[in-house]
Amino acid sequence: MSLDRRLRDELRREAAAIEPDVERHLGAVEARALRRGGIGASTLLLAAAIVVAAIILRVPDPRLGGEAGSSGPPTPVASSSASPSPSAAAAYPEIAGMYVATLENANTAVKRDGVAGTWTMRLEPDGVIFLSPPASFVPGASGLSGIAFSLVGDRFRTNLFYNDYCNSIGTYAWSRAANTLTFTQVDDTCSIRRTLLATTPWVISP
Amino acid sequence: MAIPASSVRTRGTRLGLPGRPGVATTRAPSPRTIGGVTEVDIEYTAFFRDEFPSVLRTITLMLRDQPRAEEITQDAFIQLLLGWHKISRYERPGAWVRRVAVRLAMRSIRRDRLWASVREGLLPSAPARSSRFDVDGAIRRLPASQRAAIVLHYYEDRPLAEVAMILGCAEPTARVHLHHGRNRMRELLGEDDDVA
Repeated sequence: MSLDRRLRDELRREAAAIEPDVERHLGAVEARALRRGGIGASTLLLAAAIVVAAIILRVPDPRLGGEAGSSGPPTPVASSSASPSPSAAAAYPEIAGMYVATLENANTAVKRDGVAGTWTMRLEPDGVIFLSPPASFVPGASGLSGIAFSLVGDRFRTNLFYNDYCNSIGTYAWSRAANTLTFTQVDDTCSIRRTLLATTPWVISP
Repeated sequence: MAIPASSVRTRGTRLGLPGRPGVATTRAPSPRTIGGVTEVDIEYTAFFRDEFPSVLRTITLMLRDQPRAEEITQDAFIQLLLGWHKISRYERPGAWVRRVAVRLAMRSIRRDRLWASVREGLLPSAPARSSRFDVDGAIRRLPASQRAAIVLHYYEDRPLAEVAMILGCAEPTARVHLHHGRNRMRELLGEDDDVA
C-alpha cells in the first residue's frame, strides 16, 4: 500500500470512530457564549473595585517579598498564566529564589541589546520565571509572560524572550555560590538573552 | 444561507440573534435572553449540527487528543456564534469556522511543543529515524503546520489552495508544509515513496 493511500485510509478510519454528541456540545457552546458575552459592565466594575481595593489596602506583594508601591524592586510584569502551566511536579528547589543583576551600558553587548539597568528575576521551584525589567526596558509584543525554565544537572534551559526577540530555547550551565547565581552560555543563538543572563552573575536577593 | 427543512428544529433554549432580513427563522415560543446577550437563532443551530462533527474530527486528527479537540472546536463555534449576525452573511461560514478552529489547534500544538522542548531536558534522545511509528505516533511528531497540512490534504481531500487559505499562508508555503510533512511521515512510518 502506498504512503498516500495509507494516510488517507487510516485518517478516515480514525475519523469515522469519532461520533460527537452534538446536542451536548451545542448546549456547552451556548452556555459558554452566554458567559463570555455576559462579560460586560458588571465585570468591569468588579475588576475596577478589586484594583481600587488593592491600591487602598496596599497588599503586600508575595512575589517580591516587599510591599506594592514601596521603593523596592519593580513589580514583575511576568505572569504564570501561560497555558499549559508548568507542572508543579517538576520541582527545582536548588535554584529557586530571587536574584538581581545590574547591567551597565559600559558593556558593548548591554548597550547594543538595550538591557541596561537593574533586573530582578524570581525563579519559582515549579519552573516559572518572574522577570522584572528596569523601567527603561520596553518588553516586546507579548511582554514577559509565560517564561519557563527547566534544569537537568547543571544545565538550565529557558524560553525567555521567545517570540519577541528569540526563536529558540537557550541552554546555559549554572552554578550557585554563597550569594550569586552564574549562567554560562552553552547553546543560545539569542543575543539579548545571552547578554541578560550571562554578562554578570546574578546576586541572590534576600 | 438556505435552511433545509429537515434541519429546522426547535430547541427549548435559543440564543436569538436577530434574524437576517429576508431569512425565515423559526423561533422557540419563549426565547431566552441572558445578560444582554441575545438568543441563538435556529439557523445557527442547524449550521452547528451540520458542521460541528466534521470540524471536530479534523481537529481531533490534528491534536490526537479528543477532549482538547472538543474544547478548541467549541471555542471556534463560540467565536462564530458571537459574530453570527455578520459571519452568516459570508459566502462560506463553514470555511470561516474551520479556519478558526485549525488555527487555534495549531497554536495549541506549538505551545505544547515549546513547553516540551523546555521540559524535555538535555539528555540525548534516541534518534527518531531508528524507530518505526504508526500513523498516530508519526503525526504526533510533526510540527503544527505540517500536521494541519497532512490532515487537511489527506483526510479532508482539500487542494493546496484551500489548505493554504485555512493555514493563512501562500500556496507555495502550504506545498512546502505538505511536502515536508509527507517526507517526515514516510521516514517515521518506514514507508517506501510510492505515490498513489
